[in-house]
Amino acid sequence: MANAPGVYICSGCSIGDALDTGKLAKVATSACQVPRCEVHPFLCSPQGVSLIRKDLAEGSIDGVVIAACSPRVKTEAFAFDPRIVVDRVNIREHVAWCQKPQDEDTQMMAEDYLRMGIIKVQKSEPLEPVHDEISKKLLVVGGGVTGMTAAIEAADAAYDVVLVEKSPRLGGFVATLKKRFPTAPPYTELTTDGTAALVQAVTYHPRIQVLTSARILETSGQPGMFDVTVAGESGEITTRVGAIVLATGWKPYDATRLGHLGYGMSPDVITNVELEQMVARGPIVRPSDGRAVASVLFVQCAGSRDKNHLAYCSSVCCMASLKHAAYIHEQNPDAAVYVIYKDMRTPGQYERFYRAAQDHPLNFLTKGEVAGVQKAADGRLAVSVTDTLLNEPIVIKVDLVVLATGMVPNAADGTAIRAVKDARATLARAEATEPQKVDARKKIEELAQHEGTEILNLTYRQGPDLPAFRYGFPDSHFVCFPYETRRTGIYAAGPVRAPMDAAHAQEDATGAALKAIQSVELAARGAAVHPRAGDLSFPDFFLQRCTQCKRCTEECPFGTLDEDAKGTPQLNAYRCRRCGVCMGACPERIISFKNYSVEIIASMIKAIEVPEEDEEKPRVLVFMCENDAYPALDVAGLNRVRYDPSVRVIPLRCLGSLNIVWIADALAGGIDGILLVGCKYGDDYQCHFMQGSELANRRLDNVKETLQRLQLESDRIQLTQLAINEYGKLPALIDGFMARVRELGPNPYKGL
Amino acid sequence: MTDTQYRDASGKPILVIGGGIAGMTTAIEAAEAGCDVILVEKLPYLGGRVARSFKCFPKLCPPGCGLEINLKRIRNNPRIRVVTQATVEQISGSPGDFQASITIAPRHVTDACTLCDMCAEACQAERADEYNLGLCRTKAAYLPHRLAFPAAYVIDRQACPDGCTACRDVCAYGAIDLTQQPVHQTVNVAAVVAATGWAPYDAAKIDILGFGTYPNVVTNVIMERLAAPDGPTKGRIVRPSDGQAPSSVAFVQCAGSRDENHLPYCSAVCCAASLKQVTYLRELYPDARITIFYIDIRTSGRLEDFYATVSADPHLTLIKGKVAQVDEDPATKDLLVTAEDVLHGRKVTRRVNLLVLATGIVPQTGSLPPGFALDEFRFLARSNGRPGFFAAGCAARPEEVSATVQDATGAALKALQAVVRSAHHG
Amino acid sequence: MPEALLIEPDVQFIRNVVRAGGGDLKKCYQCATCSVVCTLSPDDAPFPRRQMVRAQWGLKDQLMADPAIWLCHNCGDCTTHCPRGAKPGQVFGALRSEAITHFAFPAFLGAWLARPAGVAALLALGAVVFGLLALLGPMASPHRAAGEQAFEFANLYPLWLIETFFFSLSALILIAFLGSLTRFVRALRASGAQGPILAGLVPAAVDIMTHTRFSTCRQARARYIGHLATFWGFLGLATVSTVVGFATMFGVMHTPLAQTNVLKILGNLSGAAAVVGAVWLLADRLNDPVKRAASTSFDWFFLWTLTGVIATGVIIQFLRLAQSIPWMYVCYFVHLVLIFALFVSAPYTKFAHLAYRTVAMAASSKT
Repeated sequence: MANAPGVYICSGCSIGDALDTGKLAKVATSACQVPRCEVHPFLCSPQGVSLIRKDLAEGSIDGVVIAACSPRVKTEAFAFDPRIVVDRVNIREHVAWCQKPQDEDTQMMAEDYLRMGIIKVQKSEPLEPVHDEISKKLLVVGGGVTGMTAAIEAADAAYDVVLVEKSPRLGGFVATLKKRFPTAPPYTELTTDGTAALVQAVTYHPRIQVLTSARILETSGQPGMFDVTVAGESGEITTRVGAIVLATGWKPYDATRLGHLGYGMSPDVITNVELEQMVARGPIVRPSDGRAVASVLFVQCAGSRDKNHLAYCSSVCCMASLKHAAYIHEQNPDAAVYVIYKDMRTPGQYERFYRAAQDHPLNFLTKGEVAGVQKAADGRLAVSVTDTLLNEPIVIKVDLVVLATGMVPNAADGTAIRAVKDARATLARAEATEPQKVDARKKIEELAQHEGTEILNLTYRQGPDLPAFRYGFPDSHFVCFPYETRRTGIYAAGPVRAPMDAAHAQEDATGAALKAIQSVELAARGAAVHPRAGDLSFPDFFLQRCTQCKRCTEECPFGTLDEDAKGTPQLNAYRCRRCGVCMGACPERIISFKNYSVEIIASMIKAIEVPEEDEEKPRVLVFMCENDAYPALDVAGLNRVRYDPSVRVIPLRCLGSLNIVWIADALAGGIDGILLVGCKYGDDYQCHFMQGSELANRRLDNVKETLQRLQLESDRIQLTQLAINEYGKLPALIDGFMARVRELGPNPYKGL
Repeated sequence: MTDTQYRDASGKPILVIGGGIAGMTTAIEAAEAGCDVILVEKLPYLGGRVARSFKCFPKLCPPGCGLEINLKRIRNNPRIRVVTQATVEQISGSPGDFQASITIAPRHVTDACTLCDMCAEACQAERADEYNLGLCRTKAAYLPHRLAFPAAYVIDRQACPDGCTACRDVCAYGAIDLTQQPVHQTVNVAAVVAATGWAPYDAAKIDILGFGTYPNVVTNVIMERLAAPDGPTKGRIVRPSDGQAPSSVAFVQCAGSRDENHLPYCSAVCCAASLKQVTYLRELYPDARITIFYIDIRTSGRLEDFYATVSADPHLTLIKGKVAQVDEDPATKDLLVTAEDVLHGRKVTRRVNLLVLATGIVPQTGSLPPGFALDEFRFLARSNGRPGFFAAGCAARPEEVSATVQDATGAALKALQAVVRSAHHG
Repeated sequence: MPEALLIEPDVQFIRNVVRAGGGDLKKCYQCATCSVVCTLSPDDAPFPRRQMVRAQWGLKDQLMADPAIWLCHNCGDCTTHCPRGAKPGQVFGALRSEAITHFAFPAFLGAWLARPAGVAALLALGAVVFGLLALLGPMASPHRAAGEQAFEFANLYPLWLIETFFFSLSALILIAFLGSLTRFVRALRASGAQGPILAGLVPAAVDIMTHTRFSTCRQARARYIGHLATFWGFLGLATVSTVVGFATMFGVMHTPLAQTNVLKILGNLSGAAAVVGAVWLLADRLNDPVKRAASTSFDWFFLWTLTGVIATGVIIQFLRLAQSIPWMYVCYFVHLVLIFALFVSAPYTKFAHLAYRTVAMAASSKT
């Protein structure tokens, strides 16, 4: 606890003109009884900062409150020892720059903020970096190009690696390829660079331990201390690793579902993967009679870009089919090769390969829709194609039809598997009600196929594998952060994450390896990973008061919390991203961070002076997401935009950490309205803690019921979604809400 | 942390050239893995092209969100030294021990700057706003944009009247130093990552599409600024000729890309970008008639979802066929856009209020010091470059944001390996 | 839904087109820039985009019967703008030469003259023929007997002999032309061309006389003028020689004509125009590396013989005035050989484009 913080008020940047800084100082010294308070005209200057440093050095203060500009600026100037509790009270962007100068309301606003800051520092505890025995060894799952690359790249950076491959040998799919399409200049010729060299390098790398014919029986623990049990050729072994790269690759889409394209109708309709296998064995022949082929037709997007099959584009099939055309012409230059595509997708420099491939006189390419594949009288296959570039429907007779089938991730959907398990448990439970059982049965029916797909076998309460993003890919949801998954320390790479070719997979593997390395390095410092990178705070559970309601364990977006038999949460601190969602979820308010807790915020709310009803000065509390909404409000200040002075803003790590008790406290304390500003939610949510604002919204619904019971209008509480670049809307948003609150009149509980 | 706060850390730092999303990512990811980084950017602020777009596809989220998180990571990470308005002139030495000479142009504003805006108020001179592609003007004393980092103003001395010192005289914090001269520094680094990004192809070179001749022909990068709330029109997408809201808009895909006369490669992002810009228009103008003329729609992977969603728009028509003739109706300044509807074998001419050219990506590798291997299109080759030199982002391949971040993260590991190796060999 | 077309690519055809100047044919990715930049391409049935894919796919029959390949005046607008470097203009040139050979009547002549060897043989034959005639000529000449010593061509080849020879040859050529064109028209009809060809001939002819369509090409102003000059020059010469031919045959007129004679003047003017035009066209082709590379023996033979005929024609005029023997006779011999080659090859070489284009324009005319 910082009982004796020093308060330093800056009067620069026209703060002094807008506010009576003397009065402000008095609030600190007399009202808050702080031992030390200074007003400085240029606090961020070396002289200003040295004031603070001097006081800290002398030990006359044990915490620092800086009432000046936004914490988003001058971070270097005000960077102190992390063990000192510091708070930045934003009386510049959020007060002086957006409110009427020398106005009573403006002054009140600043004073409230100062009180809030002081109490926050007083209630916060300094952070002591935790140091555990952290393993920096990495586990790579999958011995294909992606996995091998991840392993070698990490090992070359002096990290030990355990590589687990389910098949008896390394190499994966790429090892089976006769040739590869070009991914480097001049982008025109097929290449023969297989995986042999890579397999060699991995096999003999002193830092890499390869386990083939192996599968993972269990992965327990957390980043920095995962205990992985692997069953392999040499029996079961358990090893401790710090982070995991999931590189389990892809499998071809099940062609038996492509009857409409003739698969199964004739042995001469095969998939692109079957063609590769044929090429690896020998010449390309007609399966039906073993005769060499004189004409081949490729059906692109066979099962891809198709709502009934794979809605996504598999990214590699266009390049692959152009390569296969070259295979065929290497064998027989006079063979006719037809490629029927929806759109020819050879992005970037790959366009060169497309152009080169076109040149063969017997390559015939057209956009078109394959309407049907029939057996022709002459024993060939007749493919009818519509919507062609020839502007008429066509029929093409060929010896062989190749379906360019797409990529399906070799992934396991942890969430789904968990859901089935839960459903089965429900059925087993004697006291389960009939409707519960009905739901359970439905769930099982719909998700049964996920059972037995486990890969990592995590002992996480929220499921044994990464949660699937769209279409079963355990990918990141974020454009700017492709490695931001929902399981700290576990990073998917390569085609398991998204459809991609080998070259991209290798880059992806390198990136994932870096993220894995990073997570163990941060864990070793007891620091959080992105997005709160470097945060040293940890949630702390006061379990004596836990009622086993399981909200925290269910709502944690990162599977941080497991449960014991009774359902008591068990913290795995290194899985934690420090968002505080658990803290918001807990009805017993037993979850706290040293510098962020239900109590700290509650006392900040209490620190707001609520004017008497007759003063007709409403007070509105605004909870803001500190990642997007708070900076947006800063920009509003930067733009010197005015808005209603009745609001008091409290930034939250995430709206998901909003505990409804704050709302109760605020209303009981006479606050007239509460506005929550968080990230967009829904399918394209922008919350980096997954569903923060959505959770907050759900919690509000319950609150609103309570309000009705208390005869309070539910409009007094409103949640809005705001993106960081929508700062223009913010003032209007605040004023709009204030108008509504004024309509509703004062909070009847005021002054009770 | 900015320039002056750089503290020399134990292991040799890596040098990252380019402060866009690729360079920032490489720098941050390497630093968070425990490596010191010098991040060099030629502009006075970080964020590059991504910071200048309105939204990212397919989520349609503002780049500012990711930018802010990344800036926070940089602000809180003492291992990163950011050097803006700087160029790397020359790199000598060998992997693990490179000497890079850097020239830093004067900002004329020191770290003492508090963003109080007095200088801009006092300043009477104006300059073209490059953040807004020169579509509007700022004072010669300016803050590049609202979320700009480093958070400090810049004085564009070229734009100042001779001897004017108004900004310095008014600054209460002594943050303005008009005597600053270019600074030359040599830094010793273990590895170099080039992330110099891209520039839009000069659409004026495509003579048949009317850009530069007809006011209502704009490019996709201009569209991003028109749509952005901090753009020249405050987010209103209007016709440059008369500021009117368009009721019909057409997009020309492959404007310069996949074209032996211009850019022989595919710029990879323009299809999704145009689909994204369709949503900008739709949000503002529910009934606007929009047409996209394309050769192939290239939305790989799960971007296909985005294509499916946007193309479901009832007022959007996609026509396979490249626009090869654009005429202007001098009376209305409308544009008559002609292409062959290839799938139906007839020519179509659409009259539109606004025409958007989906211009492509040109790698910015010209200003790099020697030693980087280039392919025939002047993209950085990933292999057979000089050992210890690495490439990331659109300087190496046309690609969208997430792919860029991915390979920028990989580049961070490549650089880290060089640091580890150099540490081991003494 | 229309009857689906069974695809049977004619690979030899593709190879021919590639060899005959369509080397980059396969690079086309169907963006249709060409169809738009082409000022001659109609909105409802644009070319050359669709013809390009048909050519890529070796759909010979469809292309041979497609008037569009004749509507193109090879101005090069499409080739200049093609983003893929597929050079549609040159592909069309190759398609036209394919068509001429394809419809040639009698077919063997077409096939024969399509090859450089055939052309050489033709010239040789010409030489032989006129060599023999030169031997026969004097014996059959009445003048020599009379011992006159006027320097007359007749001394080498009696007028009646030349005239009978060329008029009968022309008759044969005419038949060959009609034969070829009939095949062409039949193909057009088969492919569903409804245009009233006969009715269309008039406007088509007018267009050709005026070069209206040609004049709209952006890239080809130079060729337009050259072509116009050659066209009219040649037409003029042809008319004059025919008229004079008949006139002298029936004794209405006697050569040599006086320099003041209207026909003579017209002839000289036409000759001048033709020379200028032909040289212009040759220069245009020789100066542009792209065009030069794309030009085949098919183009060169026609251009050179045409130029040769006109040139020798003019030269012997001067030699005659200079009374320079024996050069006058030598040159006259060459002149005749070239005319012979030009006549015989007319239905099977580029010369034939005149006829095919007229018919195609007629077939696709909207009257």
